[in-house]
Amino acid sequence: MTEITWGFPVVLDLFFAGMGAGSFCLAAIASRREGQGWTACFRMASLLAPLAVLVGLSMLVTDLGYKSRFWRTMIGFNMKSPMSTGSYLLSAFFAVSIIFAIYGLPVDTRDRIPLLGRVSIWNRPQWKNRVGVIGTILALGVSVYTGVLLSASVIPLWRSLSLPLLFFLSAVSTGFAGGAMLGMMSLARTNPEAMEGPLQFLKRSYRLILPFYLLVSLALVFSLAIFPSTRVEAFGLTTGWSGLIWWVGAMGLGIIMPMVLVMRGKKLQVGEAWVLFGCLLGGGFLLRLVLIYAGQGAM
Amino acid sequence: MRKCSFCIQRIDRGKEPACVAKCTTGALTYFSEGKGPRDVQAYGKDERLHMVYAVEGRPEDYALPEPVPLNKVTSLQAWKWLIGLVPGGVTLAWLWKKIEDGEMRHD
Repeated sequence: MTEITWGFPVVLDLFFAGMGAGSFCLAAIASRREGQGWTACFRMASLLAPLAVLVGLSMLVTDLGYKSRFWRTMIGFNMKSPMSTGSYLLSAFFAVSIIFAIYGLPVDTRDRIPLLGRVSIWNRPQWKNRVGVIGTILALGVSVYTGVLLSASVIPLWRSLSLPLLFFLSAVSTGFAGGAMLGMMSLARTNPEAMEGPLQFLKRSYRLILPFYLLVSLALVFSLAIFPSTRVEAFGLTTGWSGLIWWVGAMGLGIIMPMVLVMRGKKLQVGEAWVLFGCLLGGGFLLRLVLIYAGQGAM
Repeated sequence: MRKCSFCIQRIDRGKEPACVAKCTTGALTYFSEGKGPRDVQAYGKDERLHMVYAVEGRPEDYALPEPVPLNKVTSLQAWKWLIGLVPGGVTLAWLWKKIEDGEMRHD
């Protein structure tokens, strides 16, 4: 079976939807802390979340091909279909992430938003926190949905039970990296040292997330290799061109390299952080790419 | 046959799908479940095959294997959600606790 029904737009959708969700989680955490570095992270990550989701959603609609299919998905709600629950989750998350991004805007920019810019709700920190918590719960749903969506198909590689968790971890690692990278960019000229606090937090988070991520990725391969009916899938994923992308790209670049960077005892420097975030984003993208194409026997 | 939607636009207008209308040998038919000819059973409905066959009589008459029903417990979609949501939620809660505790409060 080499017919590609789920092509590059789906890869981009999964990557960007995941990154948007992860970025929101970082923004919600950063919004609770003071300091220039944390504020920059909050601002940039909360802006990245709706933008990334928008790119992902537009890819998804492009991939549907017909407008009527889009309306059918939107009008009917079907609990059993992850396509349906997922698009509702994504829409809800998109709305909440826009509200949170407005909280992140500087006051004088916010005041210029017509009609809604001067509503008193923007000045209430407890509302900001509530939006952050609701959005984080929705973000968790969105990032898991990307895995559940694939696992509802008939393709053996995607039916693995570890996929939802793997995609969640990939979403968090790419989202944190994307949001923090933009935060670093915004401070690069003025005050790069302000990123010290967020960077040490990210380092500690990655110390938890990355070994977990590695374990779940290996669990995916082993769970496929154990059963005779799916052994060929494990072989297809881990050898040849897809094997190269899987081991060197998704595992090496996306997990092992970042793990080496964060597991050292020394403090994470700004220069190292650029490499770390670049590796995580590249590896996360290649993970989605190789799983989509190898699952359909196209690599 | 990319992303076959059973010609939903035609069905909405009371027509058959294009493949059925064009099928010269009459091998393809289209009817709603339970409204077709008698003694016809849907083969492969619950087995996640790519195709559902309308079979008159028993599957073995057509050299089709006896359908293996899907395992109702392991195929439940809720498991997939839970496997993602529970450890994911715990991970996020741990990160939140870390930031609330102010363990990294030296910035």
